[in-house]
Amino acid sequence: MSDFVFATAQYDSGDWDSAPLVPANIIDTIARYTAIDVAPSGVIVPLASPSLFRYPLIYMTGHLPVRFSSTERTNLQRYAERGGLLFVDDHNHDIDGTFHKTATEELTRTYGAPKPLPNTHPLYRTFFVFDEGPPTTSHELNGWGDDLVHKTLSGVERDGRLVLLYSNKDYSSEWNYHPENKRFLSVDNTKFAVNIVVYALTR
Amino acid sequence: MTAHARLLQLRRSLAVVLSIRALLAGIAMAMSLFAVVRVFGLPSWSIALVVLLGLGASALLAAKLRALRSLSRVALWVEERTPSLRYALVTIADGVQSPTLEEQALGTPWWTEAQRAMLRSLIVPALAAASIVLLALWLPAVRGGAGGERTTGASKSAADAAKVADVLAVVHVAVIPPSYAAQPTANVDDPTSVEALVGSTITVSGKGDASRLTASADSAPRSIAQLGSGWSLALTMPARPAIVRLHSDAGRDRLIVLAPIIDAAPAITLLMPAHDTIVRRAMGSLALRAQLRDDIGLRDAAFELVVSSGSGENFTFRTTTVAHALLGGRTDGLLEARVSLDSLALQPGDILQLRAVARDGNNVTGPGVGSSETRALRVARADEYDSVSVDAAPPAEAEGQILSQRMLIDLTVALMKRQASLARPLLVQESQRIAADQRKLRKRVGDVIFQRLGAEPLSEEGTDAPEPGKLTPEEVLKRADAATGAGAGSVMDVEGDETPILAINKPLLEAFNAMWDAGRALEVGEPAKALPPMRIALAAIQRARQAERIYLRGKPSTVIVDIAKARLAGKDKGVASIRERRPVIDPVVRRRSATFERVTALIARDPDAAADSLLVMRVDALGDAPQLAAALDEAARALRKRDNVAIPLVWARVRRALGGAPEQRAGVTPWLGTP
Repeated sequence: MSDFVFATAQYDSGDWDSAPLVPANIIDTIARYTAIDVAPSGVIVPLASPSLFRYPLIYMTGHLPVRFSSTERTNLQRYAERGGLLFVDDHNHDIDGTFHKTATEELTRTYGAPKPLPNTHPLYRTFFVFDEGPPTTSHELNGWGDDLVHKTLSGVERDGRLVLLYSNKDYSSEWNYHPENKRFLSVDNTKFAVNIVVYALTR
Repeated sequence: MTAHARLLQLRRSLAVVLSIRALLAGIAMAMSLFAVVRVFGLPSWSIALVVLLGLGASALLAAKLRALRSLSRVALWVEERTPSLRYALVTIADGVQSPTLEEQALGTPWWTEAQRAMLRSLIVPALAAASIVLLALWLPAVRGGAGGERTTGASKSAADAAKVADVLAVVHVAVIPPSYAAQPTANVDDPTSVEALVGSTITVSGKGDASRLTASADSAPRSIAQLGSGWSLALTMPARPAIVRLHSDAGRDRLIVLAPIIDAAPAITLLMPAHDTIVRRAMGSLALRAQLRDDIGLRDAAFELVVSSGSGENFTFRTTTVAHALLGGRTDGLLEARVSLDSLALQPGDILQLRAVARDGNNVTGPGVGSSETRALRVARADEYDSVSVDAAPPAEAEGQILSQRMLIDLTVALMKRQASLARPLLVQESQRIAADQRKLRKRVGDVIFQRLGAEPLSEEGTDAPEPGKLTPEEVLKRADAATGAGAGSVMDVEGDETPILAINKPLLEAFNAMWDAGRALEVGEPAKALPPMRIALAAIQRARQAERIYLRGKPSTVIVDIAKARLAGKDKGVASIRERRPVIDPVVRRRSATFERVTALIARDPDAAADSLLVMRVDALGDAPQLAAALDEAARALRKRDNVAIPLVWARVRRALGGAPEQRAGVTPWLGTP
């Protein structure tokens, strides 16, 4: 059995590396709460590369416009057919922001239009239970970005399984800190990441 | 008796025999032609032609009676059979009278031979006619017509008789719903199933003889009545699905599914009071309101109040009903009442429980009774004031979260879209509601500006202090000076003609002033005029945010997580879901799928039997798979009509409703892990 490797998507346009500490933080969280064999550091995977298919979960974020090349788009479509889950988070937390507008356009062309996920979705129960749906981030509550608390995530499902998970909640800001600093938090705000990883591994 | 007299007697007998022969010939001809008409399905007017041809044949043969007018010819007919008379009888027939001739004519008993000859002449025509009639009755296509003839009487035409050759060819169903439903009678021709309220009167009818049919409902025999020229079967819609089987003596079956519609109990929603409450003193009045709905019709409704008093093991109860209302069969309604709490004389520790109850008009299986959830109002005891949360009743409206500028714009745009359909007072009312939220948001923005300048926040909402209107940067600075007692501008570094503090707050000030314009337009019910300043305010707020948002960019060092140290160090525990297998097909679904495949194979051999099998499947599915039941009904109807266009479509629908075997996909790459 191979270790789980957290992969961050690298795409031609935009600032794909805007949340460099998120992978380490999520890896730490996976080790902290589960017995999943996880690699101690993440990898960066170009979306245009066939190596994409080696990872069950790809994390993608950024602030700037997203424009997929045709190879990236084709690769992502095949990735979805093979059961991979692409997790996209809007680092701007702004529905008028360029990342949101361009990324949703590109993802819609690639996967079809994302639809809101109900709070009863298995994603919210696959490890920790989030009865209220996706956990709120401090960036939403502080009024940054679009000044909206987004009640749901959205996604695209194939055969009853998520292939795209899209977030406007800015988990990239929320989780972008060194895992050593987690000890200063009374409540670990990265637990939802465990659900995303476990969902990707078990569905 | 003289020979002449005997000859006259013979002539009469011959006339009768010839008439009988003509009649038999006509019957034989008509029946043989009738059989041909029925076998080849010729049009109904050909039956009349057959009758005419039969009459013609009889008339043709009856023409021989003309020969009997001559007595000599009768005598010759006898002489041919009795030569020993030697023309004595012919001579007497010619009018010659002579004792010798008389003795010669009576000497031989020729009349005995003549009678035998007459009888012999009838045998062949009688046998032929009988054979043809039997043959015509034996032919299947004609048999029904003959039966119909018996049933409907001699007056019924042959054409009508032909129509009822198959007593199940046309089946008509009339459904009379129970009287309480006040619904019209429904008539359906050739149904595969009948959906009706439980207790509905169902009359299945058709043309033909009732004695040729048998009927059963769920294997219990039912009697079929003869009604005029047709048959009729009376049923009552049962509470559970059933199959009615009609079986004709021609070996044909007809199935009809009885699918009962259950009259649902009324659905009641208690709108007020909104939730349970505890009060110190029960005084004043309590507004009650409930929403009532029913699928058929409501009869009456009321609020039930139960007051329980006491404590420990000693409790007393008082029950009363208020606001009883007759609803006269309406399908929905609003029940409202106001209860005086003073009149209930509630004491500390008493609990008032209330709910709304409604009944429908179902007098067959009901009445259906529906009730709302129960609300409780409790009067707190003095010794528990410090341990219970005492809320006012009815509860105060929760203060909504202050809306963001973006949300206010959305609300205003939505109001503009509805503007044309709203009366002016209602438009102003809704516009003012948005204006109130805009005012709250403006106050928050103002608080941010003035707190940064060291001043007190703006006055609290609802106080008597007037709301500040538009402010210039100079006025803002002046206010800050007045609040801090120091020259805010003078202590700051000045760049250009602006202080840094103003440079930072300028977008917010712009938003503050734009919100003022928006609020004024909304107050007078002009949402269209409010939108431009609202958008200016949003853009200004966004600029203010961008001005203060700092992204720390730069390449951080790569973090290698110490997995061993972090392993299971988390305090919270979760439960991982195991990898889910594809769901195993439910045994019921598997059985139905197998049955459906057998029915599919049966279509080519016996489509009617396949349609009947689908109906039996439908009864099985009615309880737990309504979508499948509907699809099966559609499939059975398409099959009965031999609708080759619709059959593949409804077949696909049935398969979708059945679900399907899980798809097996090959070639999925396993996750390989570390590259």
